[in-house]
Amino acid sequence: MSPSETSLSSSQESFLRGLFPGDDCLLEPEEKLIFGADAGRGYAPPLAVVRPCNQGQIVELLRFAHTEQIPIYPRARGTNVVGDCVPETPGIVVSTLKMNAVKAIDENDFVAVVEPGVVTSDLQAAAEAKKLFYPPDPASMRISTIGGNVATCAGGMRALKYGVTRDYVLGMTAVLPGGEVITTGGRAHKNVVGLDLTRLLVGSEGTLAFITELIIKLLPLPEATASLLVGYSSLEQALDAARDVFAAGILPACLELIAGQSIYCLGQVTDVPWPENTQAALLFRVDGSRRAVDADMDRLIEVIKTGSPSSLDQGRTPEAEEQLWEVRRMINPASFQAGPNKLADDIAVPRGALKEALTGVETICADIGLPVLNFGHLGDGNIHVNVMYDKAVPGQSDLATQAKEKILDLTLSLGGTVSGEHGIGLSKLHTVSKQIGETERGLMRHIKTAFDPHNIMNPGKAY
Amino acid sequence: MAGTSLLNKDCTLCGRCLQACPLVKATAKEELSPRAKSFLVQAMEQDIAVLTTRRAEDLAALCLGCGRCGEVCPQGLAAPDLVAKLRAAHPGFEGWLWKTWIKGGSALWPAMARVSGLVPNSSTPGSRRGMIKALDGRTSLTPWLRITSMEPSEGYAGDKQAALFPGCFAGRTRPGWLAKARDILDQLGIAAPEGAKEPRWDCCGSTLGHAGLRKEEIKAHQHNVDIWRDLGRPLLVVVCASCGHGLKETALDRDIDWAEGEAEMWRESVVWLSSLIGSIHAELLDNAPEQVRYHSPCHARPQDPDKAFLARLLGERFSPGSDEACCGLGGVLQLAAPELSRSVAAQLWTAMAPTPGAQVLTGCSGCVLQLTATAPKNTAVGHWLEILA
Repeated sequence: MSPSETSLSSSQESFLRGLFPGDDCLLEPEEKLIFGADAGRGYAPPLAVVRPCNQGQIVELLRFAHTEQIPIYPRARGTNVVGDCVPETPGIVVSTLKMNAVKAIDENDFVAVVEPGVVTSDLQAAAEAKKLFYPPDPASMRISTIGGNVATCAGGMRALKYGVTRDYVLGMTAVLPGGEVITTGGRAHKNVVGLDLTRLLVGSEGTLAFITELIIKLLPLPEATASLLVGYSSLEQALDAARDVFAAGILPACLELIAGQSIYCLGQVTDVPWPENTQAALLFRVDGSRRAVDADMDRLIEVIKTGSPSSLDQGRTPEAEEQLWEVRRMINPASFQAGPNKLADDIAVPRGALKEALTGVETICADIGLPVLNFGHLGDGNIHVNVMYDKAVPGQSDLATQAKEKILDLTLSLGGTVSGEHGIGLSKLHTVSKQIGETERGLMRHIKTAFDPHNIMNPGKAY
Repeated sequence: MAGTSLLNKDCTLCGRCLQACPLVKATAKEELSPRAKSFLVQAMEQDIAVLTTRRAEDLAALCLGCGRCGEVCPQGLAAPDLVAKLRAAHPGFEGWLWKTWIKGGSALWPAMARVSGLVPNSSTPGSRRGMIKALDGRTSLTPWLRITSMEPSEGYAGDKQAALFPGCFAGRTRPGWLAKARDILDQLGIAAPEGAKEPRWDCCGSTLGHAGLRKEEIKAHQHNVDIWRDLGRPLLVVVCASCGHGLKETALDRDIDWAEGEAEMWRESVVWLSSLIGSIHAELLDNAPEQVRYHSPCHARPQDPDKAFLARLLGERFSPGSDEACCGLGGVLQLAAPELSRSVAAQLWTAMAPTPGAQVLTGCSGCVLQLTATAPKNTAVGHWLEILA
């Protein structure tokens, strides 16, 4: 079929019905509707939705789709914010929610073997039950899946100390367009043989192959953690405090920044622990043995107190910590208090350029006249910038787009990247050429063709 | 659909509700998620996609009414509210039948076996037979615990009178629960208001509202509020979490003629029977089961007073197990899509894993009904009041 075909033939539909019996093949527009959208709030109607229960069905599906040249859109919980799950070129959405088994947690090999539809926090809980630890913790970890996290190389708050999703994927099984099954990597924690296909597939946004199983690296579970939420009456004070903490030789597991409008929006939807004049907050977590954590917290508080914070709340039990972290997790949903629509970016800049980036973003949005929420992973220079607007107000969509472009230009001028962890998807596609050269993009296209000659895997996305 | 939106706010499609929804958990069907429901309505209202209204509304109405999505939604949206509005806009046969069932009382229930044949999608008689059996007033646990002494809880103001709210289910099929509840109130020295012997309370309203029967819901709310006023605004004591939830929700009903501050007073007057009980001593009888599991009703969330009470009362014998799963009763859904209801129940039983001979206690009429109808063999289910000798 041609890429822009808007319906399946009756024989194609009947093939899908045969391969995915009963309710696992959806063809009615009402049932398919939600599968055309994701948390980026874009929408395009899927031709069909299927729900495989095993790899065998995916092999058959990709053989069929390759032959028929029908686009394939892997999807789990649809929490992606850049449109990665939107089937803009009409095609088949493949829901992995039924492939959600934790197949093994091996305390000898320090690995987990999981299917892509496992919710990330479920993987973490399964590991923790055996005193093991899966560190990557994107803010969406309770509602997003390991498959989606791997496809976008999700980051998270513990990235400062532990790294991001790609640092924990040792290997995988995936199905190529045409139906061939590949395995990459394995259970060995070190492996330098051949080109690193595992790392290539991590962060490929579903454009190369359909991941069906993952071998995930685990660590010993730290005995204890503790957290500290600190309010400041200015952004500068917060940034200075972060600098002081590193200068004192402390490497927290996490160091999060909540700034400006984010502080205000959180106050609208949840109980916040800081006083009214607060303009910025830092959220720290330390981990290790119980005694080390207590000592690290004492030292951290000692350093923090030299910087005149406006509030200081510590959590030394899981329950008390949870309260502090729930505030952080609520930012994304709370952001809509500042406007019904958002243009979200997850820029990352060299850590030395953070102050310039943050104040620059504030200035750009103040000049344009739209609210902006800055928050994110201060410790590794990855800042979530949300420009809020109301598309129902004439002209605001254009203003928001202008602000976004200026912010991305500023980021690149500071030596940064337009996406630290969300991916490119649809909504940032036009920025890739500003960051990556023609030769490098040419190589990426060659790689894509080698995996997917008919361009059926999540086409028109990522690079 | 023209005019005002059925959604109080736009759904931002964030996906937090998928993890909260028992239907999604049991079926892995994203099209049943609260997010999908909101997006269906948005799509119809904003012409995002070409949809058949009736089919879209039928799909959007597949909801258990547990309200868990409302706990996690940053926009304050809850699928049961949306579904109630959808059903109110297009009341159908299932809604009518449910109304008849709830309002018709004891006279109708024995006839359910015949009536159920008329319900759409009723080709699954197994669960319905179980449901009808569960409605039989004779089904209950043999008592195995004798209370020897008890005192009112510290939170109870000593002079406050208390009216027992019977609820449709207990009022009609489990008079034993109410007798025991009255006995407990007597032992605690908590007096009933004058003239309170048999006030004719109506349904708490929540099931009617969820079924889209808004007029009947308002009527029931107003009727109950009027009785409460006549009785001198006493405490309203419930033995069913769904009744407690429905009564508390009454305070949000803007069609009631509340005086200033009165709605809040009403809300605060709704109390769980177990929360009135302070120190308590009891002795086990010989027939006490080895394992006592517990099911925490959705409508008792987030802090279930009955669970805390039973943990205190039963000590080590109380091993609730995995008690967080929804039972899947689902009001009208029970009639429209019994297979979904059954999937959710099956997941609950897998998670709870009672040992043979275990008893499962709960504190909600609806949950008792559903759990009794779906329990594995050798697992007895009942309200915690039933264990009291």
